[in-house]
Amino acid sequence: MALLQISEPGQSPLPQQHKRVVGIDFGTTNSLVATIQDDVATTITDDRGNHFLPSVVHYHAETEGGITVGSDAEKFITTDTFNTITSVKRLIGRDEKELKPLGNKCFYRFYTTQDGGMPYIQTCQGNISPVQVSAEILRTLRNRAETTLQGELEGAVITVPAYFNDAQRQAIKDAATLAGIHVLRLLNEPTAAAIAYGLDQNQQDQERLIAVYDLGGGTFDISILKLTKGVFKVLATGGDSALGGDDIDYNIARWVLDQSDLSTGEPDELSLRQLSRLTRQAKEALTEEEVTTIAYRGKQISLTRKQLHELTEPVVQKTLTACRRAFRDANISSDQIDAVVLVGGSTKMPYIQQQVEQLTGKKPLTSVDPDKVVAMGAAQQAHLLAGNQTADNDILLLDIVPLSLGLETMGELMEKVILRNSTIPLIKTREFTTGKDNQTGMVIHVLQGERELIKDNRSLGRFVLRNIPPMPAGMARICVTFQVDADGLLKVTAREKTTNICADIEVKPAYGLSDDEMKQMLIDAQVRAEADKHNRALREQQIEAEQLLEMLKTALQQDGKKLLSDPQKQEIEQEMASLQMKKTQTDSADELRSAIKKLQQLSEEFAMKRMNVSMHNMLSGHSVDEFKE
Amino acid sequence: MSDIAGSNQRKTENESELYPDFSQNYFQLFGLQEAYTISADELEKAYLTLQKQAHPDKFANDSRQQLVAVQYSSFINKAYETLCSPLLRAQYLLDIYGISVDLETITIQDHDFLMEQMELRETLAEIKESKNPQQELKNLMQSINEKITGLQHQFDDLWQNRNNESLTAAIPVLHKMYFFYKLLHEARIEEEQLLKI
Repeated sequence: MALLQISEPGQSPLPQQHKRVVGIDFGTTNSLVATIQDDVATTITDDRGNHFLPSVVHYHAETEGGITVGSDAEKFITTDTFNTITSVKRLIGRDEKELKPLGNKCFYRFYTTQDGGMPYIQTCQGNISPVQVSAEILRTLRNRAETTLQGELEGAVITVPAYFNDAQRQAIKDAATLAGIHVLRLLNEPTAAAIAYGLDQNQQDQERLIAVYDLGGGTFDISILKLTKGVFKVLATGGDSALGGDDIDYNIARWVLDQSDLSTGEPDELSLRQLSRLTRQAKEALTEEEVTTIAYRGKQISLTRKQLHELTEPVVQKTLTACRRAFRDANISSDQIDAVVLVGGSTKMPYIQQQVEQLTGKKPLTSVDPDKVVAMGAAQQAHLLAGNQTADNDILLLDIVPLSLGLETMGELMEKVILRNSTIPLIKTREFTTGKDNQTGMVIHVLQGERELIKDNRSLGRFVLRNIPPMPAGMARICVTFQVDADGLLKVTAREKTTNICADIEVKPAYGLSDDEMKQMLIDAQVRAEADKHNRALREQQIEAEQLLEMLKTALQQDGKKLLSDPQKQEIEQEMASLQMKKTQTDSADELRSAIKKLQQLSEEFAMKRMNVSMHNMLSGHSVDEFKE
Repeated sequence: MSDIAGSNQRKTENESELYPDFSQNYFQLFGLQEAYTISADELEKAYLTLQKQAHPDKFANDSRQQLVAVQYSSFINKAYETLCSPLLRAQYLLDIYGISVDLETITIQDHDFLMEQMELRETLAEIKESKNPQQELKNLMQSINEKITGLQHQFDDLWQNRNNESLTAAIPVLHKMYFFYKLLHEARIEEEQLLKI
C-alpha cells in the first residue's frame, strides 16, 4: 500500500500516524463515542451496529461482581429496579442537599457518610458511587472504541453540560480516570455542537452570533457564542442542570396515571419507569399525528397533540426564561442571533422547535442529528488537540465559567472572586488578613453559585490554612489564588505574603472523592480489568477448542475409517474427549491452549493425509501441463 | 515518561515555545497606545491573535508548556477584561502612573454628588410602585448612562493633560464613575425582576 501513496512535493503526510483519540458524549439517557475517520466525524457502533449506548448500569445479585452496561442492562430496569442505575448523570457530583429536589425522579437508596461526603447508591454489590457507575459507562465506550480503532486509546475529549458546576466536572474527570481514559479536555456540550456544525468554516471574516439550545434527557443548557475567524468565544451560558426531556416524560406519565384513575398522589418510580417507554412512543407518534393512544394496564388513553403541548409547556417556559437571561448576560437582543443550533433528543419535538424559532426569529438548524452532534464535535476537538489536524483548520475555543466562584465571608455571606461568564483560563487573587493577635490558622470556604447567602450556594470545599506566622491582628497578608483551567476546573492555593511562607493547605473532600477513595477504586478497577482480560482470553481459547473439535468430528466421520488405523482413531477420539472436558472445566486459558495444541499435533498427520487425498482427487484426470500457467 | 519524549516529535510547526513577558503593561501586551479612548475592534483583534498563540489547548501535547500557557492565557484574559471595562481601564491608567485607587473603600466629600446619589437610589427603590415601572426604569437607566458618559469625557480630558494636578483630579471622577456603575448594576437587577427573567 505504501508504494501506491504518492504525495505532492513538500506535502508528504507526516511520518507519524494519527493518534487514537475520541470524543465522548456522556448523556443522561444515552452515551456515544465518536472519532474522525477520513476527515469526517463518525460515531462508533458496538458489535451489533448500535450507535447509542443506553446510560444504564445493572449490578447483578446472582453472579458476584457481575455488571452489565447498556441495552442488556435496560431489561432489568423494571425487574431489578434498585440494582439498575439509570440517569446517573443526574446524580454525579451532587451532594445530599442537591439530590433532594430530584424527588421521586430519582429514588435509589442512598448511603451518606456522616461527614457530609458524597452520597453512595446502595446496591446488592455494596455502596456504589455515582462516579463508579459513570466509569462503567465510560469504560464500555472505551472498549468499544478500542475494538474499532484496533488499539489502546491515547485520549478523549469528554463533554459536560455547560452549566455543570466544579463538583460535577471534577466527578466526570474522576470517572474517566477510573475508566482508564486520559482526558484531553472537558468540553462544554453546546460548544461541541457548534464545532460539529462547522460554523467556523462559513463566512470566515464575518462575525456571527450563535445560540445553542440543548435540551437533553436530564439537563438544559443555553449558550451564546460569537464566532470570529475560527475563534469560538462563549459570551454567556445559562441553564438548569436538573431540567430535561425526562421532565416532559414525567409530566406525561403523571397525566396518564391521573387519566387511568390509578394515581394515588405522587406516582411511584416503578410505574413511571414502566410508563416511560409508552410515553416516549406517544411523544414520537404525535410529531406526525394529531392524536395517539396509550395502552396502559388494560386502559386505552388517548393523548392529543394539544394536550401534549400543555404538558410540555412548563418545561419549555423554563428553558425560554433561561434563554432570555443568557441573551441579557451576553448583552445582545434575541434578534441579533444569526443561527440557532438544536441539541438533544427532546429538541426533535416540533413544538419545541416552534417555540425556539418564535423566541429568536431564526429557523433552528437541525441538519446534524441532535442526538449525535455533541459526540461529533467532541471528536473533532480531540482530533485537533491530539495534533492530528492540519494548521489551516485550526480553531480556538474560549470558554467561560458558568457559575460564580467565591469565598465565605463574615455573616455567612458569599464574596464572589470570579464572576460567572468570565473567560477561562483565569487566575484571580484575593487578600485576607487575620482577625486576632497571633492567629496561626484560618479556614477558607470555597463556594460556587449566584446567591448571597452561603447556604444557598454549592460548597466546593473547606481549606484549612495552618502555620501562619504569629503576628498582630491585621498584619498578616494572606493571598488566596483561584485558578480555573481550560477544563473549567478550579484549584485554590494560599500564601502568606509578608513572610513569603507558603501556608499548609489541607483539602477536605467536601465533594467528589477523596484521594484514598479514588485509590481504592482504581485498584478495584485494575482487578476488574485483569479479570476482564482473563475472561476474554479464556473465551477465545474456548471458541478455538470448539472449532477444532467440530472440525475433527466432521473429518473423522468423513475420512476416519479410510485414513486412520483403529488405534490412531481411538487415540484422537480420546484426546478429543479430554479437550471437551477441559473446555468446560478449566478456568485457565493457558491450560486450555496447551490441550488444544496437543490435539492439533496429534491430528496433524491425519490432516496432512486428508489434504493429500483431496489434492489427489482434484488433480486426477488432469495433466500437469494444465497447471503450468 | 514516553509521553513526554514523544511529545517533542509530535510538535507541529506552528507550535512554538512560549516565552511570555509578564512585565508588559496591558497596553503594551496588545500593542495599543496608552490612552483612555481605545478602539474596541483593535483590542478584540489583538486579544484573539494573542489567545490563538497562548491558549493551553495549543499545547495539549506538552504538559510543561501547557502550565506556562495557562498562566499566560489567564494574564491575557485579565488584561482584556481590564481594558474592555471603561471603569477598570481608568483605574488601570492611574495605576500605571503610581496612583493606586481602591474602589471598595471610598470617601467622597462632594456633597452635591452624594445628595444626587441618594435621590437616584430613592427613585430606584420606588420604581416598583410607579404607574409604568418598566418605562420609568428605562428612563432612569438612560440618565445613569448619560452621567457615566459625562464622567468618561471628564476623565479622558484629565488624562490627556496628565500632570500631577489633573491626575489627582481624576481620582474623584473615577470614584463617581464607580458609584454610577454600581447603581446601574442594581437597576439591571431590578429590571430582571420586572421582566421576570
